[in-house]
Amino acid sequence: MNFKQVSLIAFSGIMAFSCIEEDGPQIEEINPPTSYVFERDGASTVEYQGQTDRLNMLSEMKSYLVTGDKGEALSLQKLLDMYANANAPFSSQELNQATTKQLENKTNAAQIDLFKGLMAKAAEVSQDVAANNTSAAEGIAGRVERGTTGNYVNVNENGWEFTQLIEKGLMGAVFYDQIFNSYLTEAKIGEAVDNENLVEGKNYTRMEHHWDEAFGYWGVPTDFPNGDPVLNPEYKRFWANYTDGRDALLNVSQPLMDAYLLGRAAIVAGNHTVKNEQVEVIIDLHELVSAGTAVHYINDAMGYLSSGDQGNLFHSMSEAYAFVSALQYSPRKKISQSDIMEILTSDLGTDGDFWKVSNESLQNAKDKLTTAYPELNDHADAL
Amino acid sequence: MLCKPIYLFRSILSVTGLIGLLLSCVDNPEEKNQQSSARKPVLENLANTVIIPGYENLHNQVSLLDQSVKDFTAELNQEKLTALREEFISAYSVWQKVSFLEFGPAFSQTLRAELNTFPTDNFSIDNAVQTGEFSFTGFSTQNRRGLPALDYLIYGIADTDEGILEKFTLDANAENRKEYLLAVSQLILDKVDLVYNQWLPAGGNYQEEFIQSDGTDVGSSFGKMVNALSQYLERFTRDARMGIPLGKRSQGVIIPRNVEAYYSRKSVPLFQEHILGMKDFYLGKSGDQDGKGFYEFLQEIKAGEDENLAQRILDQFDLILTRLDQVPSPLSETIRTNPAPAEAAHVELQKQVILIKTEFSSALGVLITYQDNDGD
Repeated sequence: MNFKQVSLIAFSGIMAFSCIEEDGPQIEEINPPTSYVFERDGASTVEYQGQTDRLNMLSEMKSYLVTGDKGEALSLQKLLDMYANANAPFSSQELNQATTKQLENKTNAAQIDLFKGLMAKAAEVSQDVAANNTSAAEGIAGRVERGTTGNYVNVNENGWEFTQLIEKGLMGAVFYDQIFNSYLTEAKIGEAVDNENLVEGKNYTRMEHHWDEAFGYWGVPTDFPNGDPVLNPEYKRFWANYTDGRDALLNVSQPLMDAYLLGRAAIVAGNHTVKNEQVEVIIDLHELVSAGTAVHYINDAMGYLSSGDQGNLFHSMSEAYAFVSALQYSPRKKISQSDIMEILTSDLGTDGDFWKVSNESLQNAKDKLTTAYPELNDHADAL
Repeated sequence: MLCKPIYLFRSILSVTGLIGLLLSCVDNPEEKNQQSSARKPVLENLANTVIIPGYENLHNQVSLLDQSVKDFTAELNQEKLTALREEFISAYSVWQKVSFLEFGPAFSQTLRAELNTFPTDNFSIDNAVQTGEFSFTGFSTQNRRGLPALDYLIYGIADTDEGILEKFTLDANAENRKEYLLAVSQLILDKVDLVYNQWLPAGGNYQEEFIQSDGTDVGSSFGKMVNALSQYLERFTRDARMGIPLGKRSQGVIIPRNVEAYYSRKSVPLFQEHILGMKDFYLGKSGDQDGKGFYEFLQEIKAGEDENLAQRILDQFDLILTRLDQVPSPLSETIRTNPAPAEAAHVELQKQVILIKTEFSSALGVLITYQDNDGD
């Protein structure tokens, strides 16, 4: 008996059990599959190419930013074009042709200026580094070596690594924000949304499609997390990668997948209660992944501060900064907005200045996260 | 029909619980308990015999050092300079014996970086003295303070003692220089005071937490100590004190100026104190007090394929000490003119790094979790 069978049996047991417990109204039975495969009349009803396109756009943007870290001068225009998918900026022709798809207009509206500002500064600093090899120092943007690897990253005057702040930042401001505040909302999957008629020319209802688009932003393979390997190289990125990375300690992958599968099956069965319950599970687990990843990088940062490795310290702190920022987008976040702001503007260095950090202030950030997310407590040092 | 997710979670939990139980039956729980009860006396002895007395000693010495800095700045003469230097070397020697305990309170305060970031940035120190603007906040100023900054200020600012005294008396920036010296000394005292008091039962009582955390997981005292020891041995004992000056990280181009205590030329005796301190820590020993340490613990569990790991690590400490005995002072000069003895010591340090990082950690069931410098 393999794992899948075990979980299937366990699952049907639960279903049977819960059906005995509750005498709800008899409506259509919910049959979640074990993979994200849903069909109608023998044809798939699942489509989220637009989401995959945006993931690919961010991959290309990240690769471009990394050339800046390697000493090339970045073009601001190219970064802005990649952000807005203008002027065929991508190496993939498919992405260039997907002209209705872009990252900028899906970014949380309050954050667009932040990202454009980071891109402008990333380009400016990369040009300076390319010309002068400018080293970063307190209050001075430039490059900093990670450990003794000979690999450099460009940081702003606060020690923020552009590549991380932009890539990980957009993971929150686009992918999480779209899942949380667009697709899994009343407007997109509420009872008023059409779940009867197929969208013209498509094999799915509007509601089914919106749920699939949320799933698409998560970015996992349809058999997640039961493939071998769990993630093939093309899936080892963004939230899929960080979910998998936290799974050993936090047990998040299968529960998240189950919730996406059950919620989607509930839509097929027209069961709004079950669907709504899964939305809560999904948001809470996505949030936990980000909080756990933030603690992971804070732990790294404390080690690097102790051993005096500035480059890796800034790298880890840039990651932590972005993963804490991503918590902001959750509509039911467990951590208060004021605690998030205190972490970002004080604990990770006064006014976000990483040069001002201490292991005591990093510990304060960690304490706020483990208090808000008690699931992290048992693994606070191991994450 | 209402299928609440809570049932799903509960079942997953109980299934995991069952699997957990099955697995733990395969393990030998008795053996685990025995090891845990064998670890506690080690923790008690290390805390009470080695660590807290070590910090107490350091606290006393940096207090004496601070007093002698005050005496010197009050009465600037050769006699006070000599007295100050003696206290400085004593404090630096005592620091060597606790330098590698970078866990718990020392980790929170980043004590190593605060006290002993070298090479010191003599240009920034000179500049601060000249402008009168001292900034000691943030980790980027760690290479302008601590013991290496004192090393520069009382040995390195001129070629002769007369010249050094003149820098504190007749020189245009003499007043600023005195203030800088006083400020650096005070900061050292404050940091040591903080760490020492966090250990004490009457203070932060980290001692209690340290002894109670008797497992081997990441947050346990064994986990933290072994990682701290291994990382320190690798980065700061082998690399910073010897490998980097020898050019091991610069394609063979030597950097003799990067030795510890460059200006006082005490690198070798301080290195010896450092290894002696690590050896005592390993033995659970301090002066005449010799209790249960890692050495005894490894003997009890017959660690190593040859069941003799305990002795091999001890022998390696002794071999390093023998090699250091053969390194002429000053180390910076030896590296320039006759590096062979320093190279020979480096070889033995490297062997100890491997013993500690691999055999020692795995015999104790501790996972090495500190980050390698190469990142991802």
